[in-house]
Amino acid sequence: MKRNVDPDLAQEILAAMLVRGGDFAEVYWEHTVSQSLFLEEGRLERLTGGEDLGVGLRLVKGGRTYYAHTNSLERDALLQLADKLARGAEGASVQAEELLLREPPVRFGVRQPAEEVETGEKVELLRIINQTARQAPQVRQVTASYGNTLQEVLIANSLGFMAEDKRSRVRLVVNVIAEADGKIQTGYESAGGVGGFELVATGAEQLAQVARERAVRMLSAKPAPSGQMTVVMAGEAGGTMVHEACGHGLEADLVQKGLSVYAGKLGQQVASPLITVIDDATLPGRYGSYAFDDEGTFGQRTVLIENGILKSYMYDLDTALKENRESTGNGRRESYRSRPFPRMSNTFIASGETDPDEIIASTEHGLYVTKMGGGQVNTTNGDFVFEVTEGYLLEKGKIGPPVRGATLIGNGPQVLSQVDLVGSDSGFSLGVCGKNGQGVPVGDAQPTLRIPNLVVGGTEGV
Amino acid sequence: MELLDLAKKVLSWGSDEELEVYLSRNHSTRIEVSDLEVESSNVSTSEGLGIRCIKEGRSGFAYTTVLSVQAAEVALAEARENARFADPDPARTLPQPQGEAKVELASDKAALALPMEEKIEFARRIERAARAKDSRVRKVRQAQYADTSYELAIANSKGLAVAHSGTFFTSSILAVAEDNGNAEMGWSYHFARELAKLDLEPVGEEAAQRALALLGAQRGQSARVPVILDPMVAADFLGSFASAFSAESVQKGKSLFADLLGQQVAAPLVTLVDDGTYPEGISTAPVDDEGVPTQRTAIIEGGKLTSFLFDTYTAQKEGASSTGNALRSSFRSTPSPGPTNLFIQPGEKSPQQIIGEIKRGLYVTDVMGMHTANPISGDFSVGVSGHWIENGNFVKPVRSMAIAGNWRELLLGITAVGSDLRWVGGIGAPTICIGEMSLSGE
Repeated sequence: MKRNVDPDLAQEILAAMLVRGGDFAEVYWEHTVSQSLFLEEGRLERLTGGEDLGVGLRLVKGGRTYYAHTNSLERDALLQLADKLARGAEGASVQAEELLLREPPVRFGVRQPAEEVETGEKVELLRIINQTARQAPQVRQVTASYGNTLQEVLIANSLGFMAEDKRSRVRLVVNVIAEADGKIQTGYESAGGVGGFELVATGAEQLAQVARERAVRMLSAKPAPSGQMTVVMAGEAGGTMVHEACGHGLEADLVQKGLSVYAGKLGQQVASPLITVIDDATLPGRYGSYAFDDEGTFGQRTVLIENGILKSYMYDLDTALKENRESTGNGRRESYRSRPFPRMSNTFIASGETDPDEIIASTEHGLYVTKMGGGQVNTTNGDFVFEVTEGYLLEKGKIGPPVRGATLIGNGPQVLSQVDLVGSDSGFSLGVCGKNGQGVPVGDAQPTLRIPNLVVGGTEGV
Repeated sequence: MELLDLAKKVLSWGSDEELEVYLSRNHSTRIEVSDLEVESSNVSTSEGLGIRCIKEGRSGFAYTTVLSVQAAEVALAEARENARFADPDPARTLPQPQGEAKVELASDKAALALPMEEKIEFARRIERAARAKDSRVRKVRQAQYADTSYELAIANSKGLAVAHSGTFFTSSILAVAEDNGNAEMGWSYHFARELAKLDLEPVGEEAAQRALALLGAQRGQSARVPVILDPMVAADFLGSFASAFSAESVQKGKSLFADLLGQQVAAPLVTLVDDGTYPEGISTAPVDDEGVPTQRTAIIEGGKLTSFLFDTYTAQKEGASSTGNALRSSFRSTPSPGPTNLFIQPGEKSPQQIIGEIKRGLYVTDVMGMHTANPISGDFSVGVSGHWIENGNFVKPVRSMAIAGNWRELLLGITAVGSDLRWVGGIGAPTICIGEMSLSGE
């Protein structure tokens, strides 16, 4: 791909944006090529591909952000747009720093570039999934999809930062629909991350098998209980809870606006001493990993909560500027169509010391969660929900019968303070996190955790 | 280049295949205000095209954001390449030209050209109204004004060529009320196709009211009680389960309504309609996203399931006619059946009447985790906040609770439908009351 915005033009655009002054200016050029394949009814139904090419310009002055994006990338059109943004500000021209290309401390290798893999080979993955997933009489439908994206970015700002990055992501998803006695249950599994085709080339069969088994198993599940009970979350269940219970509330934009229950609590005890929460963009292969964030700041590891004490929030450049500190490399955006916000990368609760089996064995009565789905949080009051897609009753320290999906609801700071056992294991899940209408890929993980008291939103008496 | 001209150019390269070009171009401005200061102003242009190629029942697709002859050539080659790998399905075909539905589409181009300072003032008016409501309204996450103008063109190798355009305006706010260390949020939203019809102050006032009403909310006891959904919450539910009415879901065994055509699937007082011609609806257009005329389709009438929503492919599949419900999320995606303006027909009772008839129950004003509802099985379990009702009156606000059930049981269990139809984007609903639901709490 010929890049139509080079460092010289970027420098020129930055200067044009700053002719009437400004605290910060930025050019974000993006070229994304993607391919996706979709199988349903045993048929390869949709194959789509495409390219997305655009530029986002940002000017910050006196706390106000002027943002524009366009698909018209001719030099004149871009300079005109820069001029239009500059007209919003009033004042004397300021000079942008000389652009200097930065090399990040980590780069993520791609062993087998997905763009170079024959479409036929990708189709084969979906056929394997379909075949494996249908090996049970209750299965009524199987949908399987594969997608890869290669995003190239050039980010240049008036502080002299310039970064070039190529981000390759691959994702494989299966959804199995099973039916018995007029009841429908679904089993969903996904795999992938930052990297190449190697991330999904093997293991398609197992992915399908796990999804199929869950869908079939859940057909015999009883309705979930309704009311308060002890909840044990398995390490393999994923990390939706940490993402919702504290992740969003630690994003600096919400904190600075006073919209988070965690605002003003730096250095204070906000969770059980057993809890340490880390956000780490540098983990190899994870779905939320990156060498640079979407403002050109290096991805990094940030300890958010250490032994229950709140240590740091997550910052982008804009929120960092407001506190006169450094960004934590959490400035992310869905594409050139949006300005960045503080967002999570891979967020997890660090492993503890208790054997996961012991946690189960020591629980008299409760709900054992082995797979979590989506979630949501109200950062203002701290209430959050997350979905349980596979769960079992715990009876006298043993895993009992399966129960159908239900939402669990709690309050972030309360729940994290209550956690009384933390397992020595850990398991990552991948997802797309939505905020301000933008989705970005994230990873999250938790060890096995026990929470003495959570509301289970089922339909049966506890 | 005019959108249709580029479409025709692409079609001229066609050979022994069916070709379709879909193009769009949007211009929009969005202002976000907080503490009455402009937090951000955004101006944008988005454009692109998508090409569908069908050969011997094999369908391939490709898109690009570059509206040039060269980029379109690359996209066409990719669409053809993709089609090669698809499995054949004889029902895959493009629609013949069928004319256009008569719709009135207001276009308020003059408002788009207003100076930025005036648009900023619109956003400030929303926030001011929220703050003026009560001194406990101390923050807003964002008061937002946005305007958009769009142009669309669709053409295919069967001679179909349609273009349409329009404008819309939106206002929204997330207000926060604080008292005694408690903080609660309230949201409100409005859209109109003409600026003069856009609500500003009422949106601020409503969000403030919603946040204030929840101050001091606490978790209540678990119970099985009647539950009233306010119109915005009812619309949220309807939107989450809308895919169950798509003919594609039905044909693929992914709808809980499959095999139930003609049967009672909701209480007799429920009528559900999809109307692509609804006056001033946000999804109103003369044609759907593959160029078929839009129409009004009753999905549920008097509680009986009367129709699903079809695009050309799903109609072809079972010898039916398209209901003009081909939908794309953008030029980046292929069409599939979906709702246009989907709404529960309003009833006779005022919301006050419905609340007044409840001895003991819950009035829901906010749900959390609606996206986790399963449109295939119909099961849902969501976090709720709202108001506890005793003897027809709100007695205390509640939060941190959950309601659970199944979409089919919910529809059959509706005991009242309000007169207060409210639109949230393309989904509309009045207040509805469900006879009994599981409420989880302490």
